Amino acid sequence: MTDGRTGDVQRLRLRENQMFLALSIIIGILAGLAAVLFSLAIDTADYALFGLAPSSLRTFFVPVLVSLGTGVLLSTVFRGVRGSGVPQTKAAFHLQGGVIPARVPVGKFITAVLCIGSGHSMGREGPSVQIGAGIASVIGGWLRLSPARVKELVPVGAAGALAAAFNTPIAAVLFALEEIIGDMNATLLGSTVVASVAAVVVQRSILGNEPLFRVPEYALVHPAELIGYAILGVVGGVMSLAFCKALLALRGVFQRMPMWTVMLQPAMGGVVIGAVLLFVPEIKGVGYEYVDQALNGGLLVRTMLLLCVVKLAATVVSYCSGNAGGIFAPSLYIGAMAGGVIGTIVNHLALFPTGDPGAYALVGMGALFAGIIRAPLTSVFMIFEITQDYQILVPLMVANMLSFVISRRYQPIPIYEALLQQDQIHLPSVALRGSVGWTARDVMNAEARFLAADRPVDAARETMREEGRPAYLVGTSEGMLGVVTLEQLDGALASGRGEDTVGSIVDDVFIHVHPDHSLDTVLARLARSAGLLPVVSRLALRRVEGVITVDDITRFAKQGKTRRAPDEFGGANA
Amino acid sequence: MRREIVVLAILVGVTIVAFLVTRSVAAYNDDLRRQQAAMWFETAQEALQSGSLEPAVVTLRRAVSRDPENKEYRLALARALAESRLDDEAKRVLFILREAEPEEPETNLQFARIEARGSDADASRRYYESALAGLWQPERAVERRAVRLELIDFLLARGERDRALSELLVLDANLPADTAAQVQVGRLFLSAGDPRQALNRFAGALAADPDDGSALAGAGESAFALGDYARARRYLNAAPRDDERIAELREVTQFVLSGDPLAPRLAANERRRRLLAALKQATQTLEICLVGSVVDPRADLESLRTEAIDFEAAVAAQRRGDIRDLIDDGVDLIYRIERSIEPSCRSVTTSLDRALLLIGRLRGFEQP
Repeated sequence: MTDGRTGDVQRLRLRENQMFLALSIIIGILAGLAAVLFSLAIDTADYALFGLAPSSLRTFFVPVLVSLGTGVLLSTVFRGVRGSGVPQTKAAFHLQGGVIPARVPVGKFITAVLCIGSGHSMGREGPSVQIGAGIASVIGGWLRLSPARVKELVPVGAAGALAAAFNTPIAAVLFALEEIIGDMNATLLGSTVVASVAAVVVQRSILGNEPLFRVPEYALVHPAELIGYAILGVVGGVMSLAFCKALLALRGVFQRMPMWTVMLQPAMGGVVIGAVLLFVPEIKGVGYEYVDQALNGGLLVRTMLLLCVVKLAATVVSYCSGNAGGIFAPSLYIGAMAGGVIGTIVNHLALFPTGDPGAYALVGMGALFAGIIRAPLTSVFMIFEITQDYQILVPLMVANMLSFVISRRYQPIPIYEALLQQDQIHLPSVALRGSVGWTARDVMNAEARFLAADRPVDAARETMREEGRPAYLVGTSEGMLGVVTLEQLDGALASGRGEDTVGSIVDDVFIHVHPDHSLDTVLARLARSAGLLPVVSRLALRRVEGVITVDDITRFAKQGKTRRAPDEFGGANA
Repeated sequence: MRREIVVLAILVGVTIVAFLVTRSVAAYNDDLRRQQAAMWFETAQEALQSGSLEPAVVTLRRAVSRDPENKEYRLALARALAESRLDDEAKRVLFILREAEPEEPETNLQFARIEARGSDADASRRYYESALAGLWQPERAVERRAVRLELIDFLLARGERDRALSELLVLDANLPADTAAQVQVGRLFLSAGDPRQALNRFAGALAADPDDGSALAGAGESAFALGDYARARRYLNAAPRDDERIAELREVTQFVLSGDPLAPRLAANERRRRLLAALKQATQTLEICLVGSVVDPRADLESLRTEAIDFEAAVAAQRRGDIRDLIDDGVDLIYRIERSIEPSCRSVTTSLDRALLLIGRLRGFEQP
């Protein structure tokens, strides 16, 4: 009887695996088609909005007026589809069980086509990733797959879309593993490869076998030339850093603006971009046409220098003002221009034979990508897939490594995660993903008590004294302002602020844990806290899921749960 | 499970529909891009016609980026880049074309022209040869001939006469019965150092049009180069009078024919007159050369002057006698004088001096 049931389960599993494989192919094809359609739609929108040779008036007003429209769409109908799409996809995969509502891919498609087509300096790959992942998630939902399976489909769709968007199937798989899943040993390798290949086959059958860039054969001309590439790596690292810092700083400025401006912010970016396009039209949209020219030595050094600086600034403005579009293509664009400039300089000054500036432009693309996106393996394979030339790999790896190291040293949090943190979303660390053991969720007390933010300090001090608590959470469970301690209240009373509200003295930077943090982390942070450790959601830093005090730890220990049997771990982190 | 299979089947249907829709959109987009490319190309052509190279390059780049498959646009871009002296980029554009179609004549020709400007003349020749060996449609025979002519010009400019002659023989074998073409090839044969072939071509041209000035001049030059001065005079006298070079040639030819002391069927007095006149001219030029310039080695010229004075005395001593024995020595001396003064005193020599030099050569006095 038992053997029969085991056999049924195995057959069911086999059927489910086959189904998942078939689904991976279909999702790969659909994601690839969506990416192709997305790219074509951007082209068509560009032509429809600007025409062949637009007047100055048209050049200026198209980004402004279209951004007014997209501003309304992005803040009413399609919330949550601003920016790249890669951070949102990562958040959906790690924190939302891979669930992406159908309005997200639809909204991303429409708004990103309008934003990029109207001249904003943004890329199409990031949105393609979100669209592909969204399609996968929606299909998983329609098929009523298990939550785990739905989650697994997200990187599959993302890989398919990216493979079709960039015509680089290997790099797309690596990107899904390196960036979306964050684990190169992921069990999803097979499905992402299948989806990626299916997407590229479909893409090539529609658009032809043309590579994205036509790149001549480049090679390391002289061993000493590695010095030149090392310089490029350092410059790439510094530029990546400048880009990331500028992006985060300006985005912070926009986020601090009053709420009523949110709808208008894309148009503010549109005004700047419209003005820039009047003088430097080469930075419009994705801009691969000019990357191709840089790779083929078709741009003067002063032009490349200008484009490098202006593209960086324009992308920062477009992205931070809340338009929909990615930073993948701009990072390649800036890298190509920076590489072209360094290559020309090395070419003129070097005492040894050097390669063409186009070779430096190519390596520069990889260096900036490695520095900004922080996916060094993807970067190397992507350039390799573009060139299909092993000879460029050594210089590429040297430049990538230097750029990556410099960028990581001075901007420890990768850009996509930093962007999420600005949105109060904290992704679990790599160590926590898939780890087993007791977590904050097991220890916490879900019944957290709050002090109202408008309560006077003297009244709050009285309450705290009566209840004998060392600290209190301030605000509500959906909108915690911070933690107030007895010392803080005493200090405020001593300085004559007894009638001020608690909200006015609370420090909004507070020690906290997330539900999936390990017990070790909980104990370490509890020791640094005032004796009250809030457990907050990763998706919303100010949403409280529980609290932990020393009493909760003691009670937990008394229950005899200092060790958990291996079979108990399944549910804790699923 | 049944529901899942139904949904999966629906998904397959949706995928097929999505594929067809995307393909139609892609086809529409492709048409749109081609239209845009054509418009940019037209703009570029207008810019090229008005001599604005820079805007032409910019718009051609746009045309190529819109329609990367179009060979015509790429070639036009390569040409415009080459005209703008952006040789490296032009070569990159051509490399892409050559990668796709290595035997395309126009691509190889553009390469050859760019390399011809640079230092790699061998590469240029190879590209010219590849262009000629490429796939030519029969209706493009004239263009192919023009390419071969260009190669011959290039080889002649580099002093590669043997290679030029080989190409000329190939060209000659397929030459149309067209006067202008015959004259052109005749000129090239002349430049390549084959006056006999040249004369044949010019004669061919004159058979079709006996009054063709270029053919008459070319035939005259060829006959002159062959040492057939009588024939040369006939052609040169009929050639147009407004060409300075031909006029000089005519004069030299006239002097050769009227001043040669060793010409057959001459009376003794006439032979003597010619010899003395020639010696006088040679000595005069020698004097001018000795006075007016720093000649090295001067001693050789002075010894020639002494030899000339002695020879004149010897002729005078036999005033009434037969000077038949002295004629050969005289012509030899005149030839040596002319040859010695030619390199350092070319500016003071006249058509007559050139004629005297040619007479010496004609009569076999040239020393190895």
